[in-house]
Amino acid sequence: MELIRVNHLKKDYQQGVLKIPAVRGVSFSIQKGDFAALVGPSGSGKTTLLNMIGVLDTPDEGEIFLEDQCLNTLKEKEKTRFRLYHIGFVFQFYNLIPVFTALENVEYTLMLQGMDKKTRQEKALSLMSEMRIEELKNRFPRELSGGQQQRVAVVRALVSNPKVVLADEPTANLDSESADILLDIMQEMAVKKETTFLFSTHDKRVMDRAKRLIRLRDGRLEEN
Amino acid sequence: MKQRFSFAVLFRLAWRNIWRQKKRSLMILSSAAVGMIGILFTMGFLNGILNGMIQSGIDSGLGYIQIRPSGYAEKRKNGMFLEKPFEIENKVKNAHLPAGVSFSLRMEREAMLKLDNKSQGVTVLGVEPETELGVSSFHEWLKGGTFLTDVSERERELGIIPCLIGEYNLKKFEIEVGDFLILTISDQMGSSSSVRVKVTGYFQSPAEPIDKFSVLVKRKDLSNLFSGKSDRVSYLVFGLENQKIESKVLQILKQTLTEFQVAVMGYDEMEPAISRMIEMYDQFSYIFYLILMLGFGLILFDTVFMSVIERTYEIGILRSIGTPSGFVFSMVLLEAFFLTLIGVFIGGVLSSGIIFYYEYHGISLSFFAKGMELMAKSASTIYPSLDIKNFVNALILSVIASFFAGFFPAWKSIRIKPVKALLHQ
Repeated sequence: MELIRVNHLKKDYQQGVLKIPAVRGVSFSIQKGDFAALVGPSGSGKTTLLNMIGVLDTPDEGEIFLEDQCLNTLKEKEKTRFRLYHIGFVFQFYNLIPVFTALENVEYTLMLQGMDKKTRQEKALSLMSEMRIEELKNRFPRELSGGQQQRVAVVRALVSNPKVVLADEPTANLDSESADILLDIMQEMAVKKETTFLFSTHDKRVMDRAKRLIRLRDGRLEEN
Repeated sequence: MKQRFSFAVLFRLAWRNIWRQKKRSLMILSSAAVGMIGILFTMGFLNGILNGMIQSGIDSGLGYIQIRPSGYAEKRKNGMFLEKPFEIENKVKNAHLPAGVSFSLRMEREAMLKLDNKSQGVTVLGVEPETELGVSSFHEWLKGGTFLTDVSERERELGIIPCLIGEYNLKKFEIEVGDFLILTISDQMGSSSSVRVKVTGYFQSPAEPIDKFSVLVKRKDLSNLFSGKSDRVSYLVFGLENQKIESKVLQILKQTLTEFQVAVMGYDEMEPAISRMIEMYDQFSYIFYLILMLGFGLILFDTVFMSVIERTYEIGILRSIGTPSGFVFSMVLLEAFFLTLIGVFIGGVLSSGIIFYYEYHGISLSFFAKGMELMAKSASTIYPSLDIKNFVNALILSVIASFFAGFFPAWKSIRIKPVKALLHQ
């Protein structure tokens, strides 16, 4: 079943008087439950594409659909709400709110959704337990290693049952062991929760695990 | 899909954020606290000066309330006398006045004190020595001699009357208690009428102008000198144990004395300078509040704005994961508000302590005392005081300052585009 469809997407960035094309007419689709990766060298348009799918950025041309909803027409407030309910984000680094403990970070999106304290704590703790990071619940991000922080970020991304988790270079700053643990967990969750994962990466470890690779070069689709 | 965010989480986030940069937060807290101390101490000090002036005026003869002939407020002439003063006195005695009220009859004339080639223009107060004790502080300020004790039979026969003068005049005329001066007034016929007065005592008040210009004699003596009769009364003056009952007493007196041609006046009406001073003080205090709050607001603005700029990436993350702009806006505004509130609280507690200490010990301004006394009849020791109004005003203005200081950074924080903010790492 098709979850995301991207049609002829284009995006340019203005740099002074120069127009730099970041994405040049890319089309592809992602199936529900995919564990897919956008791959390619730096500057190939991976992050731009990911940001547009996550409605953080708007395309100049083309359309993006999540299920049957066209995301181009969303207004700012709707985009925020859309991200909160349908998208889980994992960024490269400093993902977490520094003044919140791991548990509070995980609870945060549930709180924004208006869930009561008891329910959201139960839900957050249950997922943390599944991800084997329950013992980190009272630690602040500064007390966690990079790998642990990313695991908490993944739990936060998953806790509200989003339709898709977008992960921008999630392993870029991790050592091999931490990266493997993180990818194991993500794979496990993708299966358990039937959550769709879309990575942007040039990390071979991620590419090896991905079920599907979408290769980009100079803003164009090279291989799907 | 209605979004409702928890205020507890919002408060927790804002509260913890302000402690991330402890040094910076402590600096801003110190600024708020010092600003608050500055405001409250200055207000307390000004209150002290104002209260001192009012109290000094009240103690030195003005009293809290006076009953004067009607029309006095417009003419302000000492030559006006009450009609039927003793009926008024009886009526007042029978009025149901609250406890802690005392009153006395007085006559008042402009006069000249003379001895040899020295002279001093004065206001001579003809008082009832027994009841005067409850309405003024001359007896408390007595530094030598007695409070208008009668002269000897022989002296009385010679037309000598007792008087009380200020220490200033004692020194000026180079006399001692028991010596004589000449007191000259213009009588009811418009002629000068003089009498020998025996200085039975002298006083030193907190303000030199009172010492210089006030002379006390017995009312009957002054009345006789003026008209040959002892029934002249310029006004009734009231002393109160508690200033708070002034308006109530004023109201009762006004209701009681409707049949008489009198004006019942509070001290602020009696001495318009006091009213003007209170008004001026109020205006000054608001200007002072605003200046200090403007200064504090700018420092707070700078701090909050810097913290928003530094947290651009973090705000980008918050917005990316679905945090509504209203939540981020409120968070920044709350941070400004918390910093202000804590600073104001610390400043409020410290300044209360300082004011509390000086309220009892006083601040001696003997160095400037001369100038201050001449300028404003003020005492040389100031007893600062604060009332709840000062705290409330300072708090309200601080909150307003924090709102304005936090508004632009908060607005700036929601203008941050998540996609651009994420590039800030």
